[in-house]
Amino acid sequence: MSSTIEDRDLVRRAVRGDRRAFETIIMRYQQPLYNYLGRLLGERELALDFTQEVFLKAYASLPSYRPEYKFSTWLFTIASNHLIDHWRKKKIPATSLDHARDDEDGDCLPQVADGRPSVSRSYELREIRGRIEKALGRLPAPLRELFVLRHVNDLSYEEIAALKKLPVGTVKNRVFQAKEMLRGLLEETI
Amino acid sequence: MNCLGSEETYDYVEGLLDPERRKAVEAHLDSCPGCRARFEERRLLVAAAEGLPDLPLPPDFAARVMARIPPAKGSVFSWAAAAVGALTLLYAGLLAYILGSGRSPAGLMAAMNGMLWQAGKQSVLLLAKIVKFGAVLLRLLGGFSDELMKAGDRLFSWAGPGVIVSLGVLATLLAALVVYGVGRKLSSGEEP
Repeated sequence: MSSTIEDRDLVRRAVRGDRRAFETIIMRYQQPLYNYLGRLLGERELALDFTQEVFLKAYASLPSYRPEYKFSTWLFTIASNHLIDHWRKKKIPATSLDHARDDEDGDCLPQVADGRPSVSRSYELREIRGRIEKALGRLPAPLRELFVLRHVNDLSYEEIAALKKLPVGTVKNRVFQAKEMLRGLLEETI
Repeated sequence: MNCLGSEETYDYVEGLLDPERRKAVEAHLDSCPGCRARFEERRLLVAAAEGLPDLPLPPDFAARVMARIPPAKGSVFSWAAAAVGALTLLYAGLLAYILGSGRSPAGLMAAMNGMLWQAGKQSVLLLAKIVKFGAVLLRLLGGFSDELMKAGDRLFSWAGPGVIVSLGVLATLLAALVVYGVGRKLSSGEEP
């Protein structure tokens, strides 16, 4: 996320009580954070509440932010922990994966037969987006989260690994599983 | 080269392969329709996901969050530092003015004390008038008072102690100048 004023400068000013600096941080991250929470929760109002709460938590924790870490990673970590707490309360599996394996090189999951009518030939990109939005809700929450971070929020595998405190290989493998599952779900609906 | 696995196909789509491997993959894709079809399918999936539109946010979202954050309070130290700085500036200004008038040290001290005493007295009177005028103004503005209070609160939270104390000193000096000018005109018998 490029910006004229560095995030760490804004954080420093916000810690000193400069409210405008924190407002700039909100303006900068409200959309990516809402896209992330909205696509994981699937409920607009709940996602709005969560986005607000994440910013309030971040504001309260600003003094503990260490500038050697990327601010966006720190902010998304708060959001991710908030989500995990919510899923735990609702008893939605947040850390274990029923269908997934964590091994680094396991060529797992793609139980999607190739050779069927191709998605690309059957649907326009816009239509596929609509289907992806719906299919995302059917992915297991942990896979959905990693997929959204990677392909909706455009975080690198390294950033996601730092955020989720997982090895990069594990993250890559799970995102791969998510994509193949999603592909399967899209083909089911053709 | 063997046919591409799904994971490597995604790596190629996402530009994660090293240049040498990328070239080999591209050469294979040119000659293998099956891999080409699998690549197109995955490329479309990734492109569609990455192009998902932003979810619509209320335009006042940031303001809503800011409204839930308590106003920042300057630390006691920063307020004290700003006040000491402002008083020092005020005193230095007075000193320069009296020195410019060419008085003796004893006369200088007496003049400064006198000026400070006069300034203090006038400030108290001025403050009382400002409060009275402000109360009348607030009553007249009625419904706008809440907005004014909010604007004041916003100003206090955004500006640091240094800015607020400096503005206060400037406003006091300006008011003192106006009172002084009006007083002189009245004493010389002119219309203000």
